[in-house]
Amino acid sequence: MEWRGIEQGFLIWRPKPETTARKERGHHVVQRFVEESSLSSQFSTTNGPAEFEGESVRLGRRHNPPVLAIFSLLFYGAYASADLSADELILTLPPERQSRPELLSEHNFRADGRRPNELRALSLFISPHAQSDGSATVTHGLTSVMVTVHGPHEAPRSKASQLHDRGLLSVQVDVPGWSGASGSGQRRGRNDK
Amino acid sequence: MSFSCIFYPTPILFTTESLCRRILEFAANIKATFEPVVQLSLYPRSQISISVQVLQSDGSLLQAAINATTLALIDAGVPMTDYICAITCALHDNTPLLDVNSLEESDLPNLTVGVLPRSGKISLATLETQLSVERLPEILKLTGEAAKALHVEMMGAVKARTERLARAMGAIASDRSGGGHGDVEMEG
Repeated sequence: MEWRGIEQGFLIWRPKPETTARKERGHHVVQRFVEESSLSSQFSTTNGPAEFEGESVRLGRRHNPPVLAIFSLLFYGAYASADLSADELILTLPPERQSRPELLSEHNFRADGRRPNELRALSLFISPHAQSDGSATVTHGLTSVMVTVHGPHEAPRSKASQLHDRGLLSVQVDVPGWSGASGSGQRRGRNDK
Repeated sequence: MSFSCIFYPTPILFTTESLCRRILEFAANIKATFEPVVQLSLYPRSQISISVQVLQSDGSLLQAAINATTLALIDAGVPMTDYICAITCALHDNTPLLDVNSLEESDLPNLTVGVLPRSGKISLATLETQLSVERLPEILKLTGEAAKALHVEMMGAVKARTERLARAMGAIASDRSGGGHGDVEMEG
């Protein structure tokens, strides 16, 4: 059996010792794979060594075979095939549980049904915010940003905020937690309450 | 002085340093994009404050922010040499994908390009991941074409807005000269 890619939802378990550095890197990838396929709580109970090569993952059993992980994958509907001569176990997740959706289908459609060169629905709304000097809301599909401009006005007389030959642009960005911007809402520090 | 206070349903949590750094970088990108285009030499010792508020995010955030900033600056009447139309392009197995959503953005190498559509110059090109150099000219060409399409849309929006303003002002002028049709309502 050859190695299978993460994209196809394969986990390959082969009891063959490898170097430590590669093992750690591979373990990280397996963790990511498992997190993406909503198996993290089950998988975190095991710390079996895993190796990563190219686009494939194999789980070794040198110290601690990830039996729990395998059982949890089976619990999530993975179907397994074992090649006893090569001493390896291949677990395949069903398509709906695979780690990554297909980004571009064979008929050249993207995951949301667009063509590669197609833009999302665009709406431009000038001056939604009457109190500011200028404002605009731009919506590309589900991404929506409102920008307000104040000025030109006198710059504060502090430090380097006044330039004598030209004006100054000051940009301030607000990303509220509920906007869904990556890293703002979901990923928080471990000690965060 | 600039003071801004926005009340959101939940407090904004800058919990991790990395997020804060990313937002600062985002702001610096926008600033660097607009500095060569906005005619700042006309306004010595003054400041133009741009406040970007992300309402929803589903990928291509910088693209939306730059396009919105262009329109907001035009709406404010700030003199600029050109529009800036930004577009995000990702590469999937040698196929360039335009205007990526968050799913594609997280998985594929992507490039945000800010194009000055009239001159065809590029004011911004940011790349957070790796991309092979051979693909770059093709992607820049594609984004240039996409930016031209965006430019048409943006010009249409500006023109419609200006026409509404002009109509309202014309109505006021004719009202003053003795028409007396009552109040003028400006839609939008």
